[in-house]
Amino acid sequence: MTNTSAAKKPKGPIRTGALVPSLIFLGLIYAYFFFFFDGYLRRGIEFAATRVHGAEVDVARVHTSFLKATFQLTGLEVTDKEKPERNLFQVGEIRFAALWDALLRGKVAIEEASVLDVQAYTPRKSPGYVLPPPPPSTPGLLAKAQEQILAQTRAHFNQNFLGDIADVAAGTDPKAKLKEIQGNLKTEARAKELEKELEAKQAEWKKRAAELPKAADIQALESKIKALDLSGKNPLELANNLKKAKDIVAEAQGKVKQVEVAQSQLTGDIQKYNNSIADLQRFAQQDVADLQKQLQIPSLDPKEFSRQLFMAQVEKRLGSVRKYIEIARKYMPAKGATTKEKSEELLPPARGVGRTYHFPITKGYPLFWLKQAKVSSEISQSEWAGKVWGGLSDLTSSPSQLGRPTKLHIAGDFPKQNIHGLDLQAVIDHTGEQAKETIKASVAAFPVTDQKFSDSADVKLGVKRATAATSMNGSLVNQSMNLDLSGRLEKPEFEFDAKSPIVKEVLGAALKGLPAVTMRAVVTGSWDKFDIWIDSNLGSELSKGFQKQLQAKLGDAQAKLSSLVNDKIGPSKKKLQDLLGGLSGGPGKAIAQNKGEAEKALKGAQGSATGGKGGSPANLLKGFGF
Amino acid sequence: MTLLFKQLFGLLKLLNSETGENQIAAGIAAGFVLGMTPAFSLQTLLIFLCLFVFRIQIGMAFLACFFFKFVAWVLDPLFHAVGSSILELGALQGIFTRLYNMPLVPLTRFNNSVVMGSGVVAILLSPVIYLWGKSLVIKYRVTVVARFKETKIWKAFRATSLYNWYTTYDQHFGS
Repeated sequence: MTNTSAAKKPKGPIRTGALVPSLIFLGLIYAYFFFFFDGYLRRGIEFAATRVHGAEVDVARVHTSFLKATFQLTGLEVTDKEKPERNLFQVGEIRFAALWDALLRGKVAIEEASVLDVQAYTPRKSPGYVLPPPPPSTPGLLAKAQEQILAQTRAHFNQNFLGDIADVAAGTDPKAKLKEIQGNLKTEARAKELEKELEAKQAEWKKRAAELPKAADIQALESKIKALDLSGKNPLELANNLKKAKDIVAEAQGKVKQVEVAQSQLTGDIQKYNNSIADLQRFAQQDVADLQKQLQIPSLDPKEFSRQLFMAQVEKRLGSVRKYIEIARKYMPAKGATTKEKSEELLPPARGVGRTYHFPITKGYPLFWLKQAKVSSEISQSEWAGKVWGGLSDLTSSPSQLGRPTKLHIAGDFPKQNIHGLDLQAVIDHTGEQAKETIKASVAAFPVTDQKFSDSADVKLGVKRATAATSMNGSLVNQSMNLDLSGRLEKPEFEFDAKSPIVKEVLGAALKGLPAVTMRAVVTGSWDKFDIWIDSNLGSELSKGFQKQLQAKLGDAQAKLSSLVNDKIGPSKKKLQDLLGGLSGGPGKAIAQNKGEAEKALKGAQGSATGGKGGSPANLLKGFGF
Repeated sequence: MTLLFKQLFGLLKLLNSETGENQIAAGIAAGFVLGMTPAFSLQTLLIFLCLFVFRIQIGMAFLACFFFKFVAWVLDPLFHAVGSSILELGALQGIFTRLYNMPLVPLTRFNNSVVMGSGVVAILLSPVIYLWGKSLVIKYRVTVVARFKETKIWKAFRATSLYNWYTTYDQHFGS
């Protein structure tokens, strides 16, 4: 082996033999990017966009160029979740070029992107699939956000509200159903809790009253004072005795004070339990409301009607806003969020990870920065094309570094689809410590078909056809939000049906001649705790109609519930009042009596110390501060 | 995997021959630098390029990299301390700021304390590792290979037809 190696010509330091494998390797990489990369990227975009939107998103073609750093996407189709057989919108082409200067720094900066040929409500070749709502406790940011909203809206939302009204109209007796409900009343539980507390208090106060100083103790002190010689024959002895008398009086005053404090504390306790017993009424009202809900006894309050009819729509819009806000806050963090991350970095770095130092950026880019995107579309031969204009500016992954908020403004009309006055303005300001977003969106007119308000087996109510207008104004700062949503359905063609003839009659009368349906919803609070106020003329009309027919029946059902709750808590309340009476009559009375006697004894002790009228010892005692 | 085994067999052959100590030593040095670098970065790519272009024993480089990865894991706190002290040097802040804002350079992740520390240590020690590796190979050949060749087993094996067949094959098709 050694001989043959030595016979060979010595090889130079360059591995010439590796040239061909290297070329093959580079060729394979080129072939992958040429033949497969664009396809994989297209599928990746479709997958991610579908997950974010919640319904199928298709991309016809993606073309990228490594050398020019360009990206071109054609035929973007976004399925309408409500009507999967059509697209919500379709974009003919999106194209942009990234700056090589930024790419060499490992960043993506786009000077200008173009969005061309926007069309709306285009029919799909095949219906797009709509993703089912994520099951509860699905991990992930979007699922968690969605869950948080549903947890709050569903607490006030009865999807079979009109069905329940139909039940009442049919004359179902709620008391019969009540027997099936095996739940403890909140009032009952609270009464038991109070009972235990009061019994404990009573025992505690009995013990304390027995331990408090009595009048006899003070009288004993008075005897001590009387035993002292305050005649003033010996000045030195007089001074000593006066000091002793003063100490004894102070001791007696302390004992009286103890009794006074105890009495005021007992008065406080009695007052507190008095209030707690009175508060039981509030618990009782809550119990009645809960039972009403469990028994599905609807309220005929117009606000409740509005809430139940439009909650589904509001919930959907809230979900959409929350979803996009969460995405924006995750990928475009505000300064406050990055500061938090930095403070976490102050912890010792994990082994092998080290610490990454950041130097001042003199010429740098955020990780992603789309400087400007222009949307431009003209009405063309296509039946679905619209006139759309507007743009997006400063979309970046580091708003605080850039110092400029992301602004979006899109406006347009799709005359052939009867969509007019589309206007969407959004400002995402994550440049400061707090994340702020403002949204202003409106559509002056658009067609609505087959909108459902109730789709239960008992009652069906919806609008077959109408021209709608909608607007949304919202501002969000960190966790707090304020959203104002409104909608209007002009010349609605209602379609309704009900098993119960009464309900059908009421619906017919209420909806007859209703020229428009208006709705306004205001959502305030934070994402984890918000209030929803909804008002609608449809709710008021239906409420009025049902009130005429069902007020008596519902009133009767509610009265039965109230009496049931009151009957159940009556004995507990009585027992509580007795216990409270025992507390004020027993230890309360004893302490009050004790206090009177102690004060009387104290006066006696003070009298003995001052020794009658105006003598010299008395003057001296005054000098000591009596 | 086949390529890796080929490289390892090539290493064994080269190690037991009388030439190629420079290739093996360069492989050890390259593996040392690779092993010390904590993550994939631009300098890793540069080392790989060197492995492909120059006649460096790739099998040895991978073996050395595997070995030095464990050493580096133990030495990470030291690298972090060295890197931190370099990155915090007041006199170098200007140049670091400039490098940080240059194209390509940030891709080396030089601003990470462990990358900087291990990089500096690896570059400074790589010539030493190269010379040490070379002397180790020579010593191995003198003490282990030469003695082995004098053993009866080896002499008996050399007399077999299998060995003759292999030497003929290697003469015609070996690298």
